[in-house]
Amino acid sequence: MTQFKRGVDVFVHLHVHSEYSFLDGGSRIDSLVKRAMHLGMPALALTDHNNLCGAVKFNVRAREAGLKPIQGVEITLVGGYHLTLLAQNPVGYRSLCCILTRAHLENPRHQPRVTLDNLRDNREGLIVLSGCRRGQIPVLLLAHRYVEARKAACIYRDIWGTDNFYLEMQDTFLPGGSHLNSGLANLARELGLGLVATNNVHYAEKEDFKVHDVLTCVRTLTRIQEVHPERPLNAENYLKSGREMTSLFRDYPQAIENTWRIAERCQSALELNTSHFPAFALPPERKAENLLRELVYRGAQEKYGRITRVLCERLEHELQIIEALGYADYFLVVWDIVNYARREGIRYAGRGSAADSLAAYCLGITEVDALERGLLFERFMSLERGEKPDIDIDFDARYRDKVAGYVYHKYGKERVASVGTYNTFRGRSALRELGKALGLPGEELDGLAQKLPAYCHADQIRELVPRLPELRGSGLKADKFSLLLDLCEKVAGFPRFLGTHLGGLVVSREPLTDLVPLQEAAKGVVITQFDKEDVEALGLVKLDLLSLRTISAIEDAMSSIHRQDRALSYEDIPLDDPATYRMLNSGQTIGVFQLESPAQRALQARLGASDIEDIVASVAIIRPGPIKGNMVEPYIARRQGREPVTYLHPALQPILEKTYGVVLFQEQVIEIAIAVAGFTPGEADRLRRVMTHARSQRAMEEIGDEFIARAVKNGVELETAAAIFSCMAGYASYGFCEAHAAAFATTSFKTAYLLRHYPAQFYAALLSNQPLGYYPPHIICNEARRRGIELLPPDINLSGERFEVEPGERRGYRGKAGDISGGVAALKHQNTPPPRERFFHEGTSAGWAIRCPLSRVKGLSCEGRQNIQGNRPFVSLEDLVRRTGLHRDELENLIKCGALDTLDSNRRRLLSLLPACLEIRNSAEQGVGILFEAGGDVVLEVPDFTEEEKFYWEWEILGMNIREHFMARFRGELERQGFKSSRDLAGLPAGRWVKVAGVLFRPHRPPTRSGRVTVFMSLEDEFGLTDVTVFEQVYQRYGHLIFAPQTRPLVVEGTLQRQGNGISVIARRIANL
Amino acid sequence: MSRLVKGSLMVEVDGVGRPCRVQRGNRWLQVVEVLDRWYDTGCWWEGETPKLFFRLQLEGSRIWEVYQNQSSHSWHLYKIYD
Repeated sequence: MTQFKRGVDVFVHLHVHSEYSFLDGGSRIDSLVKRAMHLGMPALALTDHNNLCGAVKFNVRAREAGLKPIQGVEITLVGGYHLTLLAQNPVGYRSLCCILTRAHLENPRHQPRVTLDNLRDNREGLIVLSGCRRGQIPVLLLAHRYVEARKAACIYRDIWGTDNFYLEMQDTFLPGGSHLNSGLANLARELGLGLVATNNVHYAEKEDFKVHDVLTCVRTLTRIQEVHPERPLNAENYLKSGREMTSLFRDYPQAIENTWRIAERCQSALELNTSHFPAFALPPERKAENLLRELVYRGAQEKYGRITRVLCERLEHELQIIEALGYADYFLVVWDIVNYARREGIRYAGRGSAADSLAAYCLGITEVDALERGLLFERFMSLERGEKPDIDIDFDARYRDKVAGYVYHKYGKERVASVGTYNTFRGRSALRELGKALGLPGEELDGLAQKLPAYCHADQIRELVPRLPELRGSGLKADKFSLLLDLCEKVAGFPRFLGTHLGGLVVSREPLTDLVPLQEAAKGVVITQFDKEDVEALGLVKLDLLSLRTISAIEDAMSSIHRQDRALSYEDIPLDDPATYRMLNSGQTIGVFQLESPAQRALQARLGASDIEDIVASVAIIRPGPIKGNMVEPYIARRQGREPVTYLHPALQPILEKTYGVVLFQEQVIEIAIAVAGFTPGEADRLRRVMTHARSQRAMEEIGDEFIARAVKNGVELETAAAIFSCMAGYASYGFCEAHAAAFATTSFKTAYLLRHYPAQFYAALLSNQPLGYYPPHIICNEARRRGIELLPPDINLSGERFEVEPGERRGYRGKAGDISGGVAALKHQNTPPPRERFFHEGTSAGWAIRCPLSRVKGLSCEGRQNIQGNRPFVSLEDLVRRTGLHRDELENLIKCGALDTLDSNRRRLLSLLPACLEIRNSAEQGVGILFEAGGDVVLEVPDFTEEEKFYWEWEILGMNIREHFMARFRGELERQGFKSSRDLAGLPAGRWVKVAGVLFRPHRPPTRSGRVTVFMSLEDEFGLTDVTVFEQVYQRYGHLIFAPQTRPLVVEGTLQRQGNGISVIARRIANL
Repeated sequence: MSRLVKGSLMVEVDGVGRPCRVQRGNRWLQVVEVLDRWYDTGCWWEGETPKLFFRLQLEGSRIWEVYQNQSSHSWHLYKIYD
């Protein structure tokens, strides 16, 4: 037991809320720890509401600061009463986890309630305080129901005994406080219980009360002018000094003494950095290490044919490290998961630094041959670092949950959970939510929030207002927003709620409830109350089983292709296909995984990629870091031979040869440190990590001194060593993991191959798996049309649930009302493939069409779609109405978007017939005789909707335009005014002054080294995208148009720029169309 | 029953700041017991300053609520219980 040095005013706060009380805490853990240290306190407790979310951070920060952390929680009992629990030791911590898990999982979401049985079942290792004014005993005493309060106190005493149950006194200057405390003192005397003073701390400093009050308004959905019982009356719940607390409780000195007596009794409760990863289930006579070795060598034999000495040495090196660190089981668990996916035919791809492992490749976890690429295993796992490995696997998004289900089934629900993640206050959310609480008009707040850049942190708003033209006239500088912006700064990064991490699963050897509280997230997913950093700090290993819609799209595209061409194997797609490289070099890469953004398209149009190494480099180089670090231009210049490739030292040549002397990958930093300065692989990775994460100049200088000294010792000249380090320092922080880039690049190239050779199938698959990638469906449609693929409207007799490829050239069947021969004929011929050579017609897909599915029709229910598909073909509107039971609005939308065009191309006529058809159906359902037939043989002469009206309805109902692009409608007038289309630009010389118009798409401002703003955006017209670059000066004049809350078509005037095959416009003037 | 009243008054306090005598008009009344006390920050967002309230048992079985404005330190009568 710790013995504190007992000064006059020694006091320990045992009831403290942090930001992890979610809208009921006004200060961060860091501030609370700092304040407690400043006040000379020896210990501090953390007791957030119904969770331990802050536990790991609190324990780490407190220990770093030299403060004893006491882990606790303020629980809510059945009946809504509060109670304060403190863990005395790891047993107590386990009790907290069990109590909280039961409270969350046995009650509706967001309403955790603890029963007395739960408390009795998990009473070990706890010290319990009777709680704040919302505790059962204080509530009864304040209501002058002393006898009942006494009875309640007896119940609690009987659970934990007089040594572990205390009556909690507070003096926060609230009405009734004196009466309450004298009642508690009487109870203590009568029942032989101890008293303990707390201050129900909700913020560190007195002035943070305002933050707490406004957050309470957000939580209770009240406005600042409104009264609510949970809003604090005063600012007394700050972390008071020992002197203040002693003064307040001068009549109850034992209540002060007991705070440090309790603190002394509490030991460290949280055990960090112990391993809890499960053992892979094996027969008793088998060892995990042996099985792993066997599987790795079997995989190597299959992949390489024979085990060479080099192969064997590499595998032995990896296996020794894996065994020494005790991660054989981890590899087997992951192997087992991908094996399951393979058995079930679920497509997957390993990503991340795991691709640095040859063992992972041999086990079928990754697709990257680490030996062939010369990848360093130590980037993934090293003896010196000893960190937990992190294997990320992307699965077909539709089946990721099935794979996760397998893990739950195999290891047991009590040992598996999804990892939690925090949604935090950012600029937009803070402005909206706090502003609403302050009583500002919602519409005004929405308008302002929309103008804030998405990246804006809540504490950056004030700084950005004068810098961004779209914010300058927003009114945010006005005095009425001053308090709001102050508060936004205070809550920046505060957790707003706990959600589910995208793919993270933890699997534990012990039941998880012994280690971490669990709760339910949306869709019934059970999550940990810790985020990924915290579960790892606790010793749990996270598996990242991610959903990747690109893999779903690949699967769909392959199924569609296999209907015509069984021979294609995705796994065997040649990575040297010249036609695919030709397409990449043209920059026409919309839809290609990782290579489709404007920056990537521009790079591809300039780079002249000719092998997979170029794609690996492409994936790594278009990242904020390399762009900010001006790495792109030198790399391209060297790649194209316009700049000589030089090396500072001969030892660098084999390392940097593949990237033309530029340090592009993190693995290269490690290799340089080994080759030049004689670092061990583990030491070199440590250097890489310091360089990547170094926050201060001093840290960088220290690591630089070490590198240079060891390089000189290794025989390198001082100046050369310093120059090499300078070069590494310049690039290392931007470096990308080569293994990750290589894993992605393989998928990038293969999707490019599919686009190049099977564009209709590939784009149909992309459209069926939205949202995915960089571009929305309407841009994919436009791109498909540009490549000669027909877009067909939904058709009640033909459309399915997904975008389907069908032969084109039969579009626009216009049968008269009641005649479905065209539709039926189309059905019959749906699977007739067009000539095979059409697939390979360079750059076009004439002859193929993509049919829009019924699932795109807004308002059409799943049941409605099933009814249509189960009862077709339909011969007329009346037939459709009678046999499907579709609602009026569903039928209207189907007609308006063209889904009945094959029955009657006059959509207005169909709409005018609809009421009569519905009447007939209703009469039939009610057993009333049919008085007339809708339409009968008479064809109503009704003028159809105009093309503009049809265009509008298609956009409204399908979210895309089937027939033509919005801009096509203006083309004639635009041409008369001298505007060029995106297609025209291809024939114009660089430097030419041009006027272009289009629908603005995704303007963004990546970070730049100079800090000056450069906006990249695209204008979409009927022929594709025109990429536009807007430099600072022009942006300052027209930024309000670019980042307007509602997107409109824009006009841009400027000069044409050509770089390689890429074309863009440097904007000089911008206006609304 | 109680009624809200407005008006400043003179208050004598003890060593820890608790009222021990109050003056209303020309008359001083002895505080028999401080029954309760609390802080109220009021409408802080409108610049209102906090007030420290006391409920006092005065001589003659009177119960008054008084408060001290925390910025001006002036005392005011707030409520009288009948």
